[in-house]
Amino acid sequence: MDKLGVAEGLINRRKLLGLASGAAAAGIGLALPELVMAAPFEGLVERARQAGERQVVVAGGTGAYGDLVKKHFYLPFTEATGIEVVPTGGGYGEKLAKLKAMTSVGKVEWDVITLSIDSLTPDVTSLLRDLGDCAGLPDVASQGVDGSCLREGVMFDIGGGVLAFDKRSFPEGQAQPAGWADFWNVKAFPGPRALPNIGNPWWALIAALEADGVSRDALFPLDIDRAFRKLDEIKPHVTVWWKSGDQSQQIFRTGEVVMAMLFSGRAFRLRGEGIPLGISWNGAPLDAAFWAVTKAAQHPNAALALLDFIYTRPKAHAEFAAESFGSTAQRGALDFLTADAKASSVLQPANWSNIVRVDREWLAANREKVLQRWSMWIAS
Amino acid sequence: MDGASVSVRGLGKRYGAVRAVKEVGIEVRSGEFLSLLGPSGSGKTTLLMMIAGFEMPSEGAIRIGDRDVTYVAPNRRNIGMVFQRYALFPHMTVADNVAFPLRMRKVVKAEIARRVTDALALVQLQDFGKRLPAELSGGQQQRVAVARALVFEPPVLLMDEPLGALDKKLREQMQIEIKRLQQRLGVTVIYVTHDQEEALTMSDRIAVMRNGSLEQIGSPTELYDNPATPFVADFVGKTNFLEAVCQSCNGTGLEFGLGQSGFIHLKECPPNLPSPPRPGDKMRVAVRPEQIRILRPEDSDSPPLNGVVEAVIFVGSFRTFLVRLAGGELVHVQASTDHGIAHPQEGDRVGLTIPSQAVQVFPERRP
Amino acid sequence: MRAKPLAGSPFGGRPTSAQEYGPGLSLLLVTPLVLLLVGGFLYPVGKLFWGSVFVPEATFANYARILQEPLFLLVLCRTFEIAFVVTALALLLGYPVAMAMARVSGRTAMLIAACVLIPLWTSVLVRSYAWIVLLQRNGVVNNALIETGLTGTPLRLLYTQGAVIAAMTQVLLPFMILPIYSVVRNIPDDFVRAARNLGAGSLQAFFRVTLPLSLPGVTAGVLITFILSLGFYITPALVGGPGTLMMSTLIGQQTTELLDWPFAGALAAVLLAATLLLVIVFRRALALNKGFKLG
Repeated sequence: MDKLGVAEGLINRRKLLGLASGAAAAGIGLALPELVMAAPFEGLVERARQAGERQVVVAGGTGAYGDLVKKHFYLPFTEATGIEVVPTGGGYGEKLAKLKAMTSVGKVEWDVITLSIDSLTPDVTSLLRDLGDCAGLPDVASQGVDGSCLREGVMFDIGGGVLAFDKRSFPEGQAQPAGWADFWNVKAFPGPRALPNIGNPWWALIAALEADGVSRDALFPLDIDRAFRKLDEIKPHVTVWWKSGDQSQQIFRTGEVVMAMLFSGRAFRLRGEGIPLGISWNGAPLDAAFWAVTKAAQHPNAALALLDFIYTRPKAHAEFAAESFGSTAQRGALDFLTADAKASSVLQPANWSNIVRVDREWLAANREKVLQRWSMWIAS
Repeated sequence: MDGASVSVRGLGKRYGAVRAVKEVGIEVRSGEFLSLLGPSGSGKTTLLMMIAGFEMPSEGAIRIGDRDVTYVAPNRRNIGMVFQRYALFPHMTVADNVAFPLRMRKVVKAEIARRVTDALALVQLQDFGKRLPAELSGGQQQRVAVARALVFEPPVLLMDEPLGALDKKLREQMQIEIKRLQQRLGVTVIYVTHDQEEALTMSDRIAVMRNGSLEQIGSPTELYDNPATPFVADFVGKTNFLEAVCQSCNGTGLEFGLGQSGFIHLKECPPNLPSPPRPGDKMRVAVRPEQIRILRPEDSDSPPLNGVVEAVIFVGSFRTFLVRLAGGELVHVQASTDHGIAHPQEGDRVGLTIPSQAVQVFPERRP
Repeated sequence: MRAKPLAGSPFGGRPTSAQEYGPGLSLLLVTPLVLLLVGGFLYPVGKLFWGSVFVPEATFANYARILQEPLFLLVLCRTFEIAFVVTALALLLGYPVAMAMARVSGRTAMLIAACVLIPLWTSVLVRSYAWIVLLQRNGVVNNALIETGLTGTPLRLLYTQGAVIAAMTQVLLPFMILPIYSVVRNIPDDFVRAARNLGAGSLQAFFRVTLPLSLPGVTAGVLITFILSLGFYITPALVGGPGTLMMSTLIGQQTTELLDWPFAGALAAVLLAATLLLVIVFRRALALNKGFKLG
């Protein structure tokens, strides 16, 4: 799956959850965290060599995005370690279904799998190697943004639902929207708005509660009634409920709206086209993809080495970010970004700390209810 | 009801460069049955459409009675009309069709019911009021159309080849019925037809149209006996045309030579010619088939015309003999069937005589 | 219809002289179509409906859900509402055009026919995008309104119910015009002439004669337009917003996004049943078989 897919796999995620719901996670015991000695990257590579692991099979992204990953990470990894990376791939749902099938027959061909952060539900985590606090991957801790270690994986692409606004309507030097409260403030910031309608309504609920003054720590569990009440306020001013990333870009190109919640990747793409967009990470819901080692990996040490490797070499990350219009969790890449990109990069500590992480347990429990209520609310 | 006169003066219709009707003038008398007779494309239907108000004349005027209706909308002309295909409204019952003109005139309900009944009785369809037109035969539909056109007692009735879709026998029956009805009601009828027999049977007068112009107007006998032009002579009844050269014109009458075939003698100059022909003039001589008499060789030593019988056609009440003259012309001769008396046979040599008063003479070329 | 003694058509004695085929040949001739219908329509649709009740087990839960969740009834009602408005508008706009097409000749007729047919030959997708260009915030319509001073700020036109109705009406207009045209064209001029001659003004002649005689075309046009409207997918999805969600989009979501085929089958079955019911009611109301038919 390409970069766009990483950021926009939400619909697919819903599909895969539908598929996954049948296979209960019961019976698979929770593995104890393995004790991994903190060792530098070279140590990880050495262990792979000793184990005779000459290759690592990665079920990653495909297409243009996959090519970029190969160029900036797979090939350098092989060059540095001599371990060959065998890329394979597919959609999130497809990969997950395959992994489940391979696990059930006891022959897992993949060592590393990349998935969306939303798919980290119990039935999935049971298929993945527990990395604990990632102590065994020293570069994740030292080079990654806060929270890079997800226990069953490490973050790679990071982004979110940013508040993007057209600077032609809100020029520099005048008041510019800086958060969801401003998105709701149609007097100070007049003009038509857009919100996503792509099956992740909790993003809009988060924005609504932020706008209603709920403090960031108190967002979850989401007060659904309050959120919808707040959404009622903005509904008349939301002229577009975008259904695809392409559409979300198009509405800025044609000036259909003056501000919107956009995937950050789409916002940066628009900027790349020369559209003067302001981007605010303030209260942006997190969207991320992670890399994980499969529980029954045949080349576990090579896989761990790769996971550590993708937190080294900040310059490669900066190049990857520029070429993919995305960002990775490698903190040091910030120093290699252009001044303009730097200011609005998610890696800016001020931006990263303002991101809202969706409470996965709450989501698992409330997903259906919220989806139903949303579809009724949006249709009426 | 009383008929009204219809006066058409200098009426013309142009479609772009085409002149469909050219300066036609006809005075239809009140209560008269006038037929517009002509081949298709002669302008007779266009003329009718202008009288009805469906076509706007390019020039001239139309009067009904003492009212100028040239620019009056068709619905305000108060003229009845029977269409070629009847134009009965297929979604209305027979009674509703007949009631239609009364409803348009805001006649009160009871009155409508009474007059519809009367009108249907007039055409002997009193029991068919509840039917739809599609459930009637062609003849019945035709009668409904007549009833509908007459129920509001218009002074003038236009009929556009109303019997064209009927078979011969029914047509002849309807001709009589319509004529009777017209006489009984005294309505003025303008009747378009291309069937000369129909026109002769029904009309008080016939106006013969050709290429948009009025060729001749007159009673059926006038047209038959004294056609003004070869076209009329040909179109109204059957006529033999013979090419002839004037040989002498003096006190004893006119003599036309037909070459080897013989000659025709007239006692006096025909009235339709503007000036008496001079010797050497080429003329067309027209003779009705029933005016020619066949002579057996033994009847006359020197008949004016000689020929050979090529065919004998038995038509019932009469026989038609096709006689090839010596000069090559083929002449139709018609004689009533005289049972028991021998008639000439195919191949017989015969002589022909033509009574002087039965001959029409036309200049060879008309402009 | 009772037997007609003579006339094949009420417009005159055109005899019906169609040669009749025997049952064997008739069967042979319709076989390909029947096979196509069975394989390409009856079987998949039947399977879908079957699945809505019997997959994974026999239950009416899917249908109960339609009744329980207000969203589905809301969308069903809206679908019928939009279809109704679109059909009414198409009739209002299309009837005069059909009349004009049938009554004029020469270049004008060709021009009108081109105006009607060229959109029909153009992809619905293209036409829907054209509406986006027209209606967007900085689109043709808004720019014109602002330049003429009729409005100061751009109006919200796109992604509204109005946009959906306008675009659907435009897209479906030919389906209204053509059946009416084909019927009106076959109404002989003599009927109107007869009405005028019998004392009807041009309006009366229209309402008493032309209009009733054109009803079979109107019925066909209305039914085609209405049924197409009910199942319209692309145009509402492109120029409409979530507030104009229609049944077909909802069914599409169930099949392609949520993979809930049994529920999609239930929704489709409800839509089909409601459509059939309405068509029957409509035909009854118009009392189609009054005993005459055109052409």
